Amino acid sequence: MSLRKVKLERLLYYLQRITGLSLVIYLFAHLVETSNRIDPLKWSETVSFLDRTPFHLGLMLLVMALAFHGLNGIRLILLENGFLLPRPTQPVYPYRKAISSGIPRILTIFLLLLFSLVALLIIKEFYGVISCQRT
Amino acid sequence: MSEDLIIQITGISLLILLGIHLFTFSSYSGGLEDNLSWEKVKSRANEGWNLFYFLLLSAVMIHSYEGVKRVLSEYFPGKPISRLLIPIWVSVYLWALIPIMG
Repeated sequence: MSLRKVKLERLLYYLQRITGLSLVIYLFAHLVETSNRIDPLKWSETVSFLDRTPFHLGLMLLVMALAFHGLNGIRLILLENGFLLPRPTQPVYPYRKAISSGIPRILTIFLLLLFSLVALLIIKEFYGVISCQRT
Repeated sequence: MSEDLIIQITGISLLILLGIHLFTFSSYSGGLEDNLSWEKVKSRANEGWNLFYFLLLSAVMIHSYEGVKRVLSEYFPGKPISRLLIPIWVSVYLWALIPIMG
């Protein structure tokens, strides 16, 4: 049971790094894309090139990655600063990890539920953009 | 100031700044197509928006630099990661400032 609990935090740790690195790659691409705004012709070419379903889907995944990175970041800030953590006690076997039980675990589940809700809103938003593009 | 604190401060700033940035491009503020038209982009090139993008860019660059440095340091402990990253980040930052200055 405790091993399964540790796995969720470990998974979030990897996801935080994966989403962070993908956002850095996107950041550089986004800077190149928006640097074309100086020239109106280049800008309209860029906008029409990017106005395709695969790019919209990619952007949707990136906004989801951003939402996840931000929400998990809030969790990490709270835990790293010691908020919501229980008082330190003597280690007694079987050892329990403070980060994967009690309030920190409730916070993790709450943020995952919140992320699911935000992800649904993002899908709704992008579904509107893609369906407008098709009509 | 510790690296953790820098990541935390820039992270919280980015939550607010990126929230505003995304909201202004969502359908809640008049539709994506209209927001990306040349006229709309040109109308946003005023001092207020440029300051907003300067702050956003600065926070993004500091946060991403610290984040990438942390990830690389975990995989390559003891290596001079900063010496590799600082020239890349500074040149991208200065290059990205050109449209704001223009």
